[in-house]
Amino acid sequence: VVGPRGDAPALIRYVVRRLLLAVPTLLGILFCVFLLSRLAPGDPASALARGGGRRVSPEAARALRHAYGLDRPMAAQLAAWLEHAARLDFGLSYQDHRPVSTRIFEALPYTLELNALALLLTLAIGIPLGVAQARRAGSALDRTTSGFLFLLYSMPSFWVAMLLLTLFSVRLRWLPLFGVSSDLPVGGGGGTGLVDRILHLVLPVTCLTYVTLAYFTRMVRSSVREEMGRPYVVAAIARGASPGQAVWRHALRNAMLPLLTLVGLLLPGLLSGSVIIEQIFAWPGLGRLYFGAILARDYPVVLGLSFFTAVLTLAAILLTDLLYAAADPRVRYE
Amino acid sequence: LRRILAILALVAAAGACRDRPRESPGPTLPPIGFIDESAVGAPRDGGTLYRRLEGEPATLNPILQTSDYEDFVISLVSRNLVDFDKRLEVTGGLCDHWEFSPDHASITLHIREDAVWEDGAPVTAHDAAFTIRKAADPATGAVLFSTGFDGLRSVQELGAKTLRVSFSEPYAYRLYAFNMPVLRADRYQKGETSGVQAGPRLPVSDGPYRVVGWKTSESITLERNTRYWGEPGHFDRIVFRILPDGTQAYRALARGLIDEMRMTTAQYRASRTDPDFRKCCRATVFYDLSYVYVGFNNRSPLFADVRTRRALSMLLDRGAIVRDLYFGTARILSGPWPADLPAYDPFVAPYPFDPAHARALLAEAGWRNAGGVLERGGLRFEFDLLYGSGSVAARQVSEIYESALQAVGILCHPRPVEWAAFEKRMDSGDFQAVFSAWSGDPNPDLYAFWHSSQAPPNGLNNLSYSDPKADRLMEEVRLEFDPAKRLRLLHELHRVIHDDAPAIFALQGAQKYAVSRRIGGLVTTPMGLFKFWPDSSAWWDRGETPRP
Repeated sequence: VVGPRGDAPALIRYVVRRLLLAVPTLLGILFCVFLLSRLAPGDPASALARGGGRRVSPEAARALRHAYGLDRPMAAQLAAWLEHAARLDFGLSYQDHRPVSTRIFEALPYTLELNALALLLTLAIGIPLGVAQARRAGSALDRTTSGFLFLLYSMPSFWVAMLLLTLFSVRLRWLPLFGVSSDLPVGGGGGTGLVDRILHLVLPVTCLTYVTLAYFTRMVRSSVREEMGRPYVVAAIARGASPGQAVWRHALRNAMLPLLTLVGLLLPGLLSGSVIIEQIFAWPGLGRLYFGAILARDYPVVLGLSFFTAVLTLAAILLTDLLYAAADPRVRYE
Repeated sequence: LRRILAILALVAAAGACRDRPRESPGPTLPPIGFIDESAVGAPRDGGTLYRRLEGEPATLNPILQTSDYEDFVISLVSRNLVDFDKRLEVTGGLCDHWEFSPDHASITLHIREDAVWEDGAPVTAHDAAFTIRKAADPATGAVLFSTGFDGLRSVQELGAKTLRVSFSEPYAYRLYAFNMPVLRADRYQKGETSGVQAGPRLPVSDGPYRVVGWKTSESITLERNTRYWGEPGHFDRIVFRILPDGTQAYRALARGLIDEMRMTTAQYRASRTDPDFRKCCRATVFYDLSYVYVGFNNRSPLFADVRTRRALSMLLDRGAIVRDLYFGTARILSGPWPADLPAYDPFVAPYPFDPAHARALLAEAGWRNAGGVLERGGLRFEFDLLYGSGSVAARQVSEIYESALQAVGILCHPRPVEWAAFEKRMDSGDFQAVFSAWSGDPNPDLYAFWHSSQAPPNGLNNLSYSDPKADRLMEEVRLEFDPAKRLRLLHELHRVIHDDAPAIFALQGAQKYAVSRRIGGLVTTPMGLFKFWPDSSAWWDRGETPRP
């Protein structure tokens, strides 16, 4: 079915079809995650001995496996899980016996806060910087900033985090060491309330931003440069637009098309969290939840989080495609 | 811009250099030993103690706990029926006295008349009986406590504060099972079908502190329990900060954000020359109840001959490891207990590092060199040595051992395995050799870990060690109620196991803790800084070092 842009029934048909197509994709993802988590050696009982834990007698381990239904055939376990998941019931965590959804929604705001800020910063710095580099390609500014961005891109974030902490938190004592806020009588840094929250965000957001910033800026630069040579940009200048207007009003819009896909792919990353950064900054987000659940073989949490991330990824891809069509009149819903 | 960047980079690099651990501070060895400042100075009340948790507790349900993180919090909130004191001897907790029946198969416990929950309701025999029944039920998943109640016959409430617990058999270390906290029964009985797992997230306190807040992955806050019936804690509040990253914790220490942490050997060495550290903190180094060992699967044809096992024990150069890897902060063991337990017989000497003697033993056992590798009846002497991934000591020791074995023609391949997978292979006996750690317990009963009946898949005798004499001694120890005779049996058992060499009881690395200088009343024991009564509730703020 081919419909022109702005044709509402075509749009609805398209969205519905995409949503229906998403169901088998989601099932496939969940099937793989389920299989992978069960094929990994070890189980919740053997994971108990971790972290200063103590050995569990085989009898107690058997009782534990039975209590979690892990002694049933795998197909039956998967079917039972899917049946509950279809009703958005993800069960109880093996670790603390609280609902998986409670644990996810407890950690979600923290990860969202960190990653949304990082994405916004990436866009806010990356776009102007990339455009500026494209306009002055080969200049000292272009070469310096490009070199610097390459340098950033090649540095591992845990190492950068440690350097920044050493400088700003240990030596200069401007910023707190870790945590979300200094709500306790003796805090990790100066300031109160909002200021305190912002101070706690500076380093983790910086560490999350710089890597994406580096490659996003490169993408903006190359995309804008490609468009700048096109006849319609030259024509715009001929019609009297300043070179700045030609780039910002005309070239950038077209240059954004491939970037939209890139941003769409960054969106699910917003929610998956970063294990290393969250670990270093003692940030109570989804990354730590996921990592801890995998080590503890907490299957309900692993599957619940995978479900959550998979749905968001599929939604982000759909959203990107719709935005793509909105940005480019030549794209049709088909 | 470039200049600014250059300056920034320089500053960052300079900071990083100053933070890096320096070279060895010289040949001086650190003092290793226990501290007891319980009678030093006059305790002051007030203030907040900041402790560190390396990981998030999964639960604060007193009987569902499985890890140290959980134990650290719960032990200040929930008193045990009986406790260990700083000499590792059993002392009163919720119970102030108890007596055994003449046949030692039942015990009558008396809960203190004044023991109450945080709302003033009494801690009753009914609460204790409910907890014991729950712990003994495998469906509950009280994995730490359930084995203590194997063979439980009955739990009778004899009065509001008295209960009798009967077992099908007598057992010399029965009292250790009651080193267990108590649940408040009326909080759980409604959800009887779902066991105790569906109970409240925050425990009801009958200890010196009560939980007032738990911010997931951030902190757990305790406040003094005003209704506590025992010696009150000195600090008004205890805050546990959940700080997984060791480097960050070390920095938090210097900033006064935490008052104690366990240090790695590298951190400890760095701390000795770090002026910031010396200003805020002191280090305490001591041996606890853990040790590391190289275990052989005694069922494997490679290790079936005792001469082979002894030879393998003589090929691990423990002296060099203590000197070069632990910088003197470790000691060599000869038997299956940590050296501070009375069961350990100091007169049993460890196998020396002696490759020549080892070669002779291997030849005696029938191993012949065939093209650089030992062989016996077509069987090549080649095996994997598994260890839990991420353990630096395990990797280093395994590599040292690998090269020593290679020199005599034995091929040993160190293999890191992710923890849960490692434990699974240990428990099923699916390995040839392992490098692992024993985490201590004051109970010297080895039955569950070394008796031949407990070999996989039945129990925790992962190495499948089997020796009739050792079996008999382990059985006798459990039924010997005279402490002096029991000690003689344990020392005999030590010698038998040493002679059989089912594992290399390699060494005990000293524990290194950093403690803020403001802390008074510090006591260290083989249990560590905590895990014995009165734990950190006896710590107090000396108020000498103002917080930054």
